[in-house]
Amino acid sequence: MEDIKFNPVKASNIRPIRPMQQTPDNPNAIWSDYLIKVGSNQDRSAFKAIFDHFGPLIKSFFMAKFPSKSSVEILEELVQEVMIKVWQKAHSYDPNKAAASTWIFTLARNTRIDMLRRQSKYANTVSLEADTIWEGSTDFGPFSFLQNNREAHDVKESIKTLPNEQALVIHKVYMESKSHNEVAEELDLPLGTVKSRVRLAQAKLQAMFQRPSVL
Amino acid sequence: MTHHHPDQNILTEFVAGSLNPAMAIAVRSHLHFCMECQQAAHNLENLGGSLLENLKPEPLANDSFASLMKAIDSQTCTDSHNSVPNVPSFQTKDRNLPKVLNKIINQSPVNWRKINRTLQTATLHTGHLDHEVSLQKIKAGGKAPEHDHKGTEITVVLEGSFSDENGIYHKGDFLLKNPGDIHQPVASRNQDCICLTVQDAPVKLTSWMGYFINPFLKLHTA
Repeated sequence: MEDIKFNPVKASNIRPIRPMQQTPDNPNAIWSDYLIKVGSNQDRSAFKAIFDHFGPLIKSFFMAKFPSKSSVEILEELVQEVMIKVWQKAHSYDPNKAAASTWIFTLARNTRIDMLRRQSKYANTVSLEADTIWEGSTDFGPFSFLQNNREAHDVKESIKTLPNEQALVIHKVYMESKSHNEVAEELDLPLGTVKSRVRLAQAKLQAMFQRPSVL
Repeated sequence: MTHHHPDQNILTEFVAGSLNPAMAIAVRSHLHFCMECQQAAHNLENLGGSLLENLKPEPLANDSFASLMKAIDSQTCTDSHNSVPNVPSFQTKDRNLPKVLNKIINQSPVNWRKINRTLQTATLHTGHLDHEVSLQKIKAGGKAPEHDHKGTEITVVLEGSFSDENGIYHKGDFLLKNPGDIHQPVASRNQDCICLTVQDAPVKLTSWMGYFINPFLKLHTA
């Protein structure tokens, strides 16, 4: 009988597998690289690539908020306004703090807030710009930001698994920039239902959204 | 370490950008002190980025990139006027005011108005006319007038601490009062308490005392 040499595997011999090494490179990381190139040496071809990918998404983002009245020109102008900010602020982009899509989302969001502010009868000319209030909200830290791109990718995939009613509410809140109250009115739902759908969707998306209950 | 936080729905509206800017100032101020909510806000921003990525792309005009680069090239470098070297007109003792408040205060100085022996108030000029954003200073051990709320009132503690019927609030704590909530804040005895408040409707005083000294009867928006 063949002598089998039994070689038990000791726990200490197993190299821990880190999630980061386990998965292939995340496609989102490209955009971070391009942003860094734009920021460090005004790389125009990297900027073009960012524009080709995010420009049409940003246009779609503004269309969600201003669906009917928005003329093509205004939408193009808004996209341009955001992309100019991308160009000007790319040097301050830190991939350890935010995924590229997250960072660009915050620029588009601030542009939208400012546009609404300009239209509002409740704001005068000296009212604070969105950048002043919302600025640096991606500066949060320090956390384990090495995983930002992975996180962003995971969230992007899990959004597709949300029940329709939750996905709809989340879309209205983020992309149409509606307050919970406005969403409740529009969908003819109690405010409490809207609030709980928002929370449920977020809890479902990632355990990372869960936080200690607050008073 | 803060113990009273904005709820997840307010934080979501903040991140999504639909929260009223005056209330957003209060949320931003709380975030300055609260790592836990910073983490939550960070996650909510990631969600925003992912939703953006999931939108159906809308094709842009053919010459879109060309005209963008033309606009960029015609701009002179104007990105360096951001630094504000002003001496702040107001500071807390630990010089740890949220950045957003520093900016507001640098743009227009803080003018304290004396309401009574224990309470001073200063309206902050934010340009948002539907809300009053102000600082309140309660002397150590002093009581603010008892009041209830017609609208919502947000308070963020910037220095010291105060208590009311429901609890005690320390630096960074975020407190939201809704219509019908009644409370009477009392500053802790060991030091003055300074708070940021954001109100969307005049506060009604419930005790006869406050009737004459109501700092809130009129909105001082600016």
